[in-house]
Amino acid sequence: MLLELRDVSVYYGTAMAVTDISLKQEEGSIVSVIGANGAGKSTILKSINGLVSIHSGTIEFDGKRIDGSGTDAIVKAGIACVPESRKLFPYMTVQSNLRLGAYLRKDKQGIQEDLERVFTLFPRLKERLKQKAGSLSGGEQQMLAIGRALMSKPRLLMMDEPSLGLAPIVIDTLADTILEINRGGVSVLLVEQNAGLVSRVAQDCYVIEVGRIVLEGDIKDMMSNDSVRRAFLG
Amino acid sequence: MGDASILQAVLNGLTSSGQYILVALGLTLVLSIMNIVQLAHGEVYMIGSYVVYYFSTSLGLNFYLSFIIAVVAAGVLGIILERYFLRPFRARPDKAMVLTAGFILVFQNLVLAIATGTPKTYKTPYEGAVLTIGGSALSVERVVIIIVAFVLIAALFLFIRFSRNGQAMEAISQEREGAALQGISVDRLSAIAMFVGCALAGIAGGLVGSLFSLLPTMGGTVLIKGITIIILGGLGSIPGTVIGGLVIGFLDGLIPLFTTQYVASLIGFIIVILILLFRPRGLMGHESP
Repeated sequence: MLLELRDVSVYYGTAMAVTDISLKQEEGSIVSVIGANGAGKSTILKSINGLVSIHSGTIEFDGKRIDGSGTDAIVKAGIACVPESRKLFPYMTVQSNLRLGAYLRKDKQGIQEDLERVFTLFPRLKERLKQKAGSLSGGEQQMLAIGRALMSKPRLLMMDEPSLGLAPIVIDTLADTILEINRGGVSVLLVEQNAGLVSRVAQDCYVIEVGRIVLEGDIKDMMSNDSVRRAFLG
Repeated sequence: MGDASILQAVLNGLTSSGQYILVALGLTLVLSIMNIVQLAHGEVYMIGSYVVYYFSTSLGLNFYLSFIIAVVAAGVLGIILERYFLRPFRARPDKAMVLTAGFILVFQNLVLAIATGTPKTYKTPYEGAVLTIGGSALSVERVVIIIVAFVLIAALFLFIRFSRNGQAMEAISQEREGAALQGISVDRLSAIAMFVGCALAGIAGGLVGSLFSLLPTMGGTVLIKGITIIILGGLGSIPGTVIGGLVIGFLDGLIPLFTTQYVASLIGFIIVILILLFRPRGLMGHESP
């Protein structure tokens, strides 16, 4: 198992944000967490990242406990994240943003190769190399956020609502991008509200409601079951 | 007004600017990385002066060696403040800032207890030396302050622009969580920011101390100037800090030529308020985050 959460609970102050979350992901797979706004999806990713500390439960990556570790150690272990609203460095160039994605790496040649790989995936970024990240379009910013995350050479790429604010046609391209990244050997944990995007890329799916996992299984089965679809997937 | 007095005024302006910028750069670094205005920054400057005084005058050590000790001491003090006092309040910058206000009293009274309130003075080896340029005599002490300050400003620019840690600092100042997600340790860079910032304040204090008498309260004016500069420059901007420092420094150097010292500082602040009326985000502040 690449990633395994066992009974993870997180509090914000005294309010419970997520309760007893258990989730498994195999190496090379695309797993998705789906749910409405405020259901606790981002909290799950932040607990894996080490950005919020968990109250109980365990998180293992590649068989080792990572809960309680600092975010830098978790990134170093091989987990990268495309955060909600992207969190790019707006006044820095596209190039500097990508370089900072490789902040923890020392292998100059490997970094250069991965930079080329990002440009193959997103030729647009190469054209915008000297432009400030804040001046890019929404779709280009999303490319940069994904590119920056890939620059750390992750084994697991987590994406927090990548479809947010993108036009439907861009969402289609996004699905292709996710599949292509996955074909390159990177496991993807996708957190989404957009069931359409999830059903195009993921198989295993966890449905979360007010901080609890209420359903898990194959997204295609869920989508074909009318009552499930109406209840959870919009 | 003759050429000589203009040159003298420019020199005074540059001396004040250099000193203020060194102090304000530390405030800017700490503000961008840790989201606090480190209010005891003027006291670090004051301690820089007193350490030079103590080692060079009381212990009779060589001035240059005393100066280096003062700079290192100021930097280490910064690391200790960050590690043991500010880091525990990382999630609550407002509390950390109140704590730094408390340290103003702690440091002032500590120095008062050790050195007493009697004004102290120390001399540089080049005290009284004069450089003659175009018929006017320039004090070497002031020239040294100007050169050291502007070399350090250039060095800090290069550090931020080209070094790995400098780029990481820039990243944190623009997007904290985004930076953390790249594996940048906010703790480590906060310690570096406090070290560099406090060392710069120590350098300013050590250099300027020979021009005045030292008092435990000497950090107050410097802090006010520093805060004015970073607001004028656009909070968190390093080029803005340098430009803001030049504006304030030259106002300090030039206005007294036309009026008294007291009216001068009043006019200085009025000009700052006028600039901020038209550019509320400061001279180099970003329009929107």
